[in-house]
Amino acid sequence: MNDVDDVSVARSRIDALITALSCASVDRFDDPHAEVVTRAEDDFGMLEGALGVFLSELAEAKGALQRAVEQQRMTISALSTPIIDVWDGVVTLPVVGVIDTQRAMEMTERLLSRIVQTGARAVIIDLTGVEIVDTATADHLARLTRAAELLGARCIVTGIGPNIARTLVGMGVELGRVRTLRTLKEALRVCIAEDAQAAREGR
Amino acid sequence: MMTLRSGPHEVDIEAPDLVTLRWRGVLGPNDLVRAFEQLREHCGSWPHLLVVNDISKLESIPPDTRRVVPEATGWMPMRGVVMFGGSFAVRTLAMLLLKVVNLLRGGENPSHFVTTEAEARAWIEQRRRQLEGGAR
Repeated sequence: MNDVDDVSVARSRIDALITALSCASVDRFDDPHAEVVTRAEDDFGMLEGALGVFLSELAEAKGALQRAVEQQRMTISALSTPIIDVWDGVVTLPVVGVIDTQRAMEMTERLLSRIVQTGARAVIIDLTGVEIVDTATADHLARLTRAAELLGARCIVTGIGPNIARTLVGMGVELGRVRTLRTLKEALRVCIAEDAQAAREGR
Repeated sequence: MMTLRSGPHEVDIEAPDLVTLRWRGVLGPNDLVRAFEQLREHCGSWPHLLVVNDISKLESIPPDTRRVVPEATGWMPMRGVVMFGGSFAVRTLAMLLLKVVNLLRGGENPSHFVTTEAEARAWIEQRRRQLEGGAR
Protein backbone atom coordinates (compact mmCIF):
# COMPACT_ATOMS: atom_id res chain seq x y z
CA MET A 1 0.00 0.00 0.00
CA ASN A 2 1.30 3.47 -0.76
CA ASP A 3 0.21 6.86 0.50
CA VAL A 4 -2.22 7.29 -2.40
CA ASP A 5 -4.26 4.36 -1.01
CA ASP A 6 -4.56 5.86 2.46
CA VAL A 7 -8.05 6.97 3.43
CA SER A 8 -9.17 9.55 5.93
CA VAL A 9 -12.06 8.62 8.21
CA ALA A 10 -13.85 10.71 10.82
CA ARG A 11 -13.02 9.55 14.36
CA SER A 12 -16.73 9.44 15.23
CA ARG A 13 -17.34 6.78 12.55
CA ILE A 14 -14.53 4.58 13.92
CA ASP A 15 -15.82 5.10 17.46
CA ALA A 16 -19.32 4.04 16.40
CA LEU A 17 -17.97 0.79 14.95
CA ILE A 18 -15.89 0.06 18.05
CA THR A 19 -18.90 0.77 20.27
CA ALA A 20 -21.08 -1.59 18.25
CA LEU A 21 -18.41 -4.30 18.49
CA SER A 22 -18.05 -3.71 22.23
CA CYS A 23 -21.79 -4.32 22.66
CA ALA A 24 -21.54 -7.46 20.51
CA SER A 25 -18.58 -8.70 22.58
CA VAL A 26 -20.92 -9.09 25.58
CA ASP A 27 -23.99 -10.23 23.58
CA ARG A 28 -25.80 -6.89 24.01
CA PHE A 29 -27.16 -6.91 20.48
CA ASP A 30 -30.37 -5.19 21.50
CA ASP A 31 -28.57 -2.12 22.82
CA PRO A 32 -29.15 0.90 20.53
CA HIS A 33 -25.37 1.39 20.34
CA ALA A 34 -25.01 -2.06 18.76
CA GLU A 35 -26.59 -0.83 15.56
CA VAL A 36 -24.17 0.10 12.79
CA VAL A 37 -25.33 2.82 10.43
CA THR A 38 -23.71 3.42 7.06
CA ARG A 39 -22.97 7.12 7.26
CA ALA A 40 -21.61 7.67 3.77
CA GLU A 41 -21.28 5.70 0.55
CA ASP A 42 -17.50 5.51 0.61
CA ASP A 43 -14.99 2.72 1.28
CA PHE A 44 -15.49 2.97 5.03
CA GLY A 45 -19.24 2.97 4.43
CA MET A 46 -18.85 -0.48 2.84
CA LEU A 47 -17.11 -1.64 5.99
CA GLU A 48 -19.93 -0.15 8.10
CA GLY A 49 -22.55 -1.80 5.90
CA ALA A 50 -20.84 -5.20 5.95
CA LEU A 51 -20.35 -5.10 9.70
CA GLY A 52 -23.98 -4.05 10.16
CA VAL A 53 -25.14 -7.04 8.13
CA PHE A 54 -22.93 -9.50 10.00
CA LEU A 55 -23.86 -8.15 13.43
CA SER A 56 -27.59 -8.34 12.69
CA GLU A 57 -27.16 -11.88 11.33
CA LEU A 58 -25.19 -12.84 14.41
CA ALA A 59 -27.89 -11.37 16.66
CA GLU A 60 -30.55 -13.30 14.74
CA ALA A 61 -28.55 -16.55 14.96
CA LYS A 62 -28.01 -16.08 18.70
CA GLY A 63 -31.73 -15.42 19.19
CA ALA A 64 -32.64 -18.54 17.20
CA LEU A 65 -30.17 -20.60 19.23
CA GLN A 66 -31.61 -19.31 22.50
CA ARG A 67 -35.13 -20.12 21.34
CA ALA A 68 -34.02 -23.64 20.32
CA VAL A 69 -32.31 -24.19 23.68
CA GLU A 70 -35.43 -23.00 25.53
CA GLN A 71 -37.60 -25.30 23.40
CA GLN A 72 -35.29 -28.24 24.16
CA ARG A 73 -35.35 -27.36 27.85
CA MET A 74 -39.14 -27.43 27.82
CA THR A 75 -39.18 -30.74 25.94
CA ILE A 76 -36.70 -32.30 28.35
CA SER A 77 -38.73 -30.95 31.25
CA ALA A 78 -41.93 -32.47 29.87
CA LEU A 79 -40.20 -35.80 29.25
CA SER A 80 -38.62 -35.83 32.68
CA THR A 81 -41.93 -35.40 34.51
CA PRO A 82 -44.40 -37.72 32.78
CA ILE A 83 -47.76 -38.09 34.49
CA ILE A 84 -49.41 -41.42 33.74
CA ASP A 85 -53.03 -42.49 34.25
CA VAL A 86 -52.44 -45.93 35.73
CA TRP A 87 -56.00 -46.66 36.85
CA ASP A 88 -59.39 -45.08 36.85
CA GLY A 89 -58.94 -41.96 39.02
CA VAL A 90 -55.31 -42.78 39.84
CA VAL A 91 -52.33 -40.95 38.33
CA THR A 92 -48.67 -41.60 38.93
CA LEU A 93 -45.69 -39.30 38.75
CA PRO A 94 -42.45 -41.25 38.36
CA VAL A 95 -39.61 -38.93 39.37
CA VAL A 96 -36.12 -39.46 37.98
CA GLY A 97 -32.99 -37.48 38.83
CA VAL A 98 -32.57 -34.28 40.79
CA ILE A 99 -35.49 -32.06 41.77
CA ASP A 100 -34.51 -28.43 41.87
CA THR A 101 -36.85 -25.52 42.53
CA GLN A 102 -37.60 -24.89 38.85
CA ARG A 103 -38.36 -28.54 38.17
CA ALA A 104 -40.43 -28.84 41.35
CA MET A 105 -42.56 -25.88 40.22
CA GLU A 106 -43.08 -27.43 36.79
CA MET A 107 -43.94 -30.81 38.33
CA THR A 108 -46.43 -29.21 40.69
CA GLU A 109 -48.07 -27.20 37.92
CA ARG A 110 -48.37 -30.19 35.59
CA LEU A 111 -49.60 -32.52 38.31
CA LEU A 112 -52.26 -30.11 39.58
CA SER A 113 -53.48 -29.47 36.02
CA ARG A 114 -53.78 -33.21 35.46
CA ILE A 115 -55.69 -33.73 38.72
CA VAL A 116 -58.17 -31.03 37.73
CA GLN A 117 -58.37 -32.29 34.14
CA THR A 118 -58.95 -35.98 35.01
CA GLY A 119 -60.62 -35.61 38.39
CA ALA A 120 -58.01 -37.96 39.83
CA ARG A 121 -58.72 -39.14 43.38
CA ALA A 122 -55.24 -40.49 44.07
CA VAL A 123 -51.66 -39.56 43.14
CA ILE A 124 -48.73 -41.92 43.46
CA ILE A 125 -45.36 -40.18 43.46
CA ASP A 126 -42.75 -42.80 42.70
CA LEU A 127 -39.17 -41.97 43.76
CA THR A 128 -37.55 -45.20 42.57
CA GLY A 129 -35.45 -43.19 40.10
CA VAL A 130 -34.28 -40.63 42.64
CA GLU A 131 -30.81 -41.31 44.01
CA ILE A 132 -30.22 -38.25 46.16
CA VAL A 133 -32.59 -36.22 48.26
CA ASP A 134 -31.70 -33.07 50.13
CA THR A 135 -33.72 -30.83 52.43
CA ALA A 136 -34.92 -28.68 49.53
CA THR A 137 -36.08 -31.72 47.55
CA ALA A 138 -37.96 -33.10 50.56
CA ASP A 139 -39.56 -29.71 51.05
CA HIS A 140 -40.60 -29.61 47.38
CA LEU A 141 -42.18 -33.07 47.71
CA ALA A 142 -44.07 -32.10 50.84
CA ARG A 143 -45.44 -28.98 49.13
CA LEU A 144 -46.37 -30.99 46.07
CA THR A 145 -48.39 -33.46 48.11
CA ARG A 146 -50.09 -30.70 50.11
CA ALA A 147 -51.11 -28.93 46.90
CA ALA A 148 -52.50 -32.17 45.44
CA GLU A 149 -54.44 -32.87 48.64
CA LEU A 150 -55.97 -29.40 48.52
CA LEU A 151 -57.49 -30.44 45.21
CA GLY A 152 -58.97 -33.50 46.85
CA ALA A 153 -56.44 -36.11 45.67
CA ARG A 154 -54.81 -38.32 48.27
CA CYS A 155 -51.06 -38.84 47.86
CA ILE A 156 -48.86 -41.86 48.30
CA VAL A 157 -45.06 -41.72 47.96
CA THR A 158 -43.35 -44.91 46.86
CA GLY A 159 -39.86 -46.12 46.00
CA ILE A 160 -38.01 -44.54 48.89
CA GLY A 161 -34.75 -46.50 48.81
CA PRO A 162 -32.34 -47.06 51.69
CA ASN A 163 -30.17 -44.09 50.68
CA ILE A 164 -33.07 -41.67 50.61
CA ALA A 165 -34.52 -43.06 53.85
CA ARG A 166 -31.14 -42.71 55.58
CA THR A 167 -30.70 -39.18 54.28
CA LEU A 168 -34.18 -38.07 55.31
CA VAL A 169 -33.76 -39.48 58.81
CA GLY A 170 -30.22 -38.05 59.06
CA MET A 171 -31.45 -34.60 58.13
CA GLY A 172 -34.48 -34.88 60.39
CA VAL A 173 -36.77 -34.19 57.44
CA GLU A 174 -40.45 -34.84 58.04
CA LEU A 175 -42.66 -35.67 55.10
CA GLY A 176 -45.60 -34.79 57.31
CA ARG A 177 -48.81 -36.72 56.78
CA VAL A 178 -47.63 -38.15 53.48
CA ARG A 179 -48.34 -41.86 53.21
CA THR A 180 -45.38 -43.96 52.07
CA LEU A 181 -45.34 -47.46 50.60
CA ARG A 182 -42.55 -49.56 49.21
CA THR A 183 -43.54 -49.98 45.59
CA LEU A 184 -45.75 -48.48 42.93
CA LYS A 185 -47.51 -51.83 42.63
CA GLU A 186 -48.35 -51.85 46.32
CA ALA A 187 -49.65 -48.28 46.16
CA LEU A 188 -51.82 -49.08 43.17
CA ARG A 189 -53.26 -52.08 44.99
CA VAL A 190 -54.10 -49.88 47.99
CA CYS A 191 -55.75 -47.26 45.79
CA ILE A 192 -57.91 -49.87 44.05
CA ALA A 193 -58.88 -51.47 47.35
CA GLU A 194 -59.78 -48.14 48.90
CA ASP A 195 -61.86 -47.19 45.86
CA ALA A 196 -63.68 -50.54 46.04
CA GLN A 197 -64.38 -50.04 49.73
CA ALA A 198 -65.63 -46.50 49.13
CA ALA A 199 -67.94 -47.84 46.41
CA ARG A 200 -69.27 -50.48 48.77
CA GLU A 201 -69.91 -47.85 51.39
CA GLY A 202 -71.63 -45.70 48.80
CA ARG A 203 -69.14 -42.82 49.13
CA MET B 1 -1.73 -3.75 51.07
CA MET B 2 -3.95 -6.82 51.00
CA THR B 3 -3.82 -9.50 48.29
CA LEU B 4 -6.82 -11.65 47.40
CA ARG B 5 -6.80 -14.65 45.07
CA SER B 6 -9.28 -16.07 42.63
CA GLY B 7 -7.89 -19.06 40.74
CA PRO B 8 -4.56 -18.00 39.25
CA HIS B 9 -5.49 -14.32 39.44
CA GLU B 10 -4.59 -11.85 42.16
CA VAL B 11 -6.21 -8.68 43.42
CA ASP B 12 -4.11 -6.16 45.34
CA ILE B 13 -6.09 -3.75 47.45
CA GLU B 14 -4.53 -0.48 48.54
CA ALA B 15 -6.83 1.77 50.54
CA PRO B 16 -8.25 4.29 50.11
CA ASP B 17 -8.93 4.00 46.38
CA LEU B 18 -6.59 1.71 44.43
CA VAL B 19 -6.98 -1.89 43.27
CA THR B 20 -4.64 -3.82 41.01
CA LEU B 21 -6.06 -6.82 39.19
CA ARG B 22 -3.47 -9.28 37.95
CA TRP B 23 -5.01 -11.58 35.41
CA ARG B 24 -3.23 -14.79 34.35
CA GLY B 25 -3.78 -17.23 31.46
CA VAL B 26 -7.32 -17.83 30.24
CA LEU B 27 -9.77 -15.81 32.32
CA GLY B 28 -12.78 -17.97 33.19
CA PRO B 29 -16.17 -16.52 34.17
CA ASN B 30 -16.19 -18.06 37.67
CA ASP B 31 -12.75 -16.68 38.52
CA LEU B 32 -13.75 -13.25 37.27
CA VAL B 33 -17.01 -13.18 39.21
CA ARG B 34 -15.30 -14.43 42.39
CA ALA B 35 -12.56 -11.81 42.06
CA PHE B 36 -15.06 -8.97 41.80
CA GLU B 37 -17.22 -10.40 44.59
CA GLN B 38 -14.20 -10.47 46.90
CA LEU B 39 -13.31 -6.98 45.80
CA ARG B 40 -16.81 -5.80 46.64
CA GLU B 41 -16.56 -7.29 50.14
CA HIS B 42 -13.47 -5.20 50.83
CA CYS B 43 -14.02 -2.07 48.72
CA GLY B 44 -17.79 -1.90 48.34
CA SER B 45 -17.98 1.17 50.57
CA TRP B 46 -15.21 3.15 48.89
CA PRO B 47 -16.50 6.36 47.28
CA HIS B 48 -14.52 5.69 44.11
CA LEU B 49 -12.09 3.19 42.67
CA LEU B 50 -8.97 3.60 40.57
CA VAL B 51 -8.15 0.36 38.81
CA VAL B 52 -4.90 -1.02 37.46
CA ASN B 53 -5.23 -4.11 35.28
CA ASP B 54 -2.12 -6.20 34.75
CA ILE B 55 -2.88 -8.01 31.50
CA SER B 56 0.76 -8.85 30.70
CA LYS B 57 0.13 -12.56 31.36
CA LEU B 58 -3.51 -12.66 30.28
CA GLU B 59 -3.93 -15.01 27.31
CA SER B 60 -7.61 -14.64 26.46
CA ILE B 61 -11.05 -13.53 27.64
CA PRO B 62 -13.52 -16.16 26.34
CA PRO B 63 -17.12 -15.25 25.34
CA ASP B 64 -18.63 -16.75 28.54
CA THR B 65 -16.43 -14.46 30.60
CA ARG B 66 -17.13 -11.39 28.49
CA ARG B 67 -20.87 -11.88 28.96
CA VAL B 68 -20.63 -11.64 32.77
CA VAL B 69 -18.35 -8.60 32.85
CA PRO B 70 -21.06 -5.87 32.82
CA GLU B 71 -22.98 -7.43 35.70
CA ALA B 72 -19.91 -8.37 37.74
CA THR B 73 -18.51 -4.85 37.56
CA GLY B 74 -21.79 -2.94 37.69
CA TRP B 75 -21.36 -1.99 41.37
CA MET B 76 -17.88 -0.47 40.91
CA PRO B 77 -17.64 3.33 41.21
CA MET B 78 -14.68 3.42 38.80
CA ARG B 79 -13.11 6.80 38.12
CA GLY B 80 -10.09 5.66 36.13
CA VAL B 81 -8.83 2.40 34.63
CA VAL B 82 -5.37 1.73 33.32
CA MET B 83 -4.10 -1.45 31.70
CA PHE B 84 -0.52 -2.47 31.19
CA GLY B 85 1.17 -5.15 29.07
CA GLY B 86 -0.80 -7.65 27.01
CA SER B 87 -0.85 -8.65 23.37
CA PHE B 88 -2.64 -6.49 20.83
CA ALA B 89 -5.47 -9.05 20.64
CA VAL B 90 -5.98 -9.02 24.42
CA ARG B 91 -5.76 -5.22 24.57
CA THR B 92 -8.40 -5.02 21.84
CA LEU B 93 -10.81 -7.24 23.78
CA ALA B 94 -10.10 -5.38 27.01
CA MET B 95 -10.80 -2.08 25.27
CA LEU B 96 -14.13 -3.40 23.92
CA LEU B 97 -15.14 -4.55 27.39
CA LEU B 98 -14.18 -1.27 29.03
CA LYS B 99 -16.13 0.59 26.40
CA VAL B 100 -19.33 -1.37 26.97
CA VAL B 101 -18.97 -1.25 30.76
CA ASN B 102 -18.68 2.54 30.63
CA LEU B 103 -21.54 2.74 28.17
CA LEU B 104 -23.86 0.77 30.45
CA ARG B 105 -22.76 2.45 33.69
CA GLY B 106 -22.59 6.00 32.45
CA GLY B 107 -20.42 8.54 34.28
CA GLU B 108 -16.81 9.54 33.78
CA ASN B 109 -14.30 6.72 33.76
CA PRO B 110 -11.27 7.51 31.63
CA SER B 111 -9.13 4.58 30.53
CA HIS B 112 -5.59 4.28 29.32
CA PHE B 113 -3.21 1.63 28.01
CA VAL B 114 0.50 1.63 28.87
CA THR B 115 3.40 -0.79 28.69
CA THR B 116 4.70 -1.11 32.26
CA GLU B 117 3.33 -1.12 35.79
CA ALA B 118 5.40 1.97 36.63
CA GLU B 119 3.70 3.86 33.81
CA ALA B 120 0.34 2.59 34.99
CA ARG B 121 0.97 3.85 38.53
CA ALA B 122 2.14 7.20 37.19
CA TRP B 123 -1.12 7.52 35.24
CA ILE B 124 -3.09 6.63 38.38
CA GLU B 125 -1.23 9.32 40.34
CA GLN B 126 -2.07 11.86 37.67
CA ARG B 127 -5.70 10.77 37.64
CA ARG B 128 -5.87 10.95 41.45
CA ARG B 129 -4.60 14.54 41.35
CA GLN B 130 -7.28 15.40 38.78
CA LEU B 131 -9.96 13.94 41.03
CA GLU B 132 -8.58 15.80 44.03
CA GLY B 133 -8.71 18.95 41.93
CA GLY B 134 -12.42 18.47 41.42
CA ALA B 135 -12.43 16.64 38.07
CA ARG B 136 -15.10 14.00 37.54
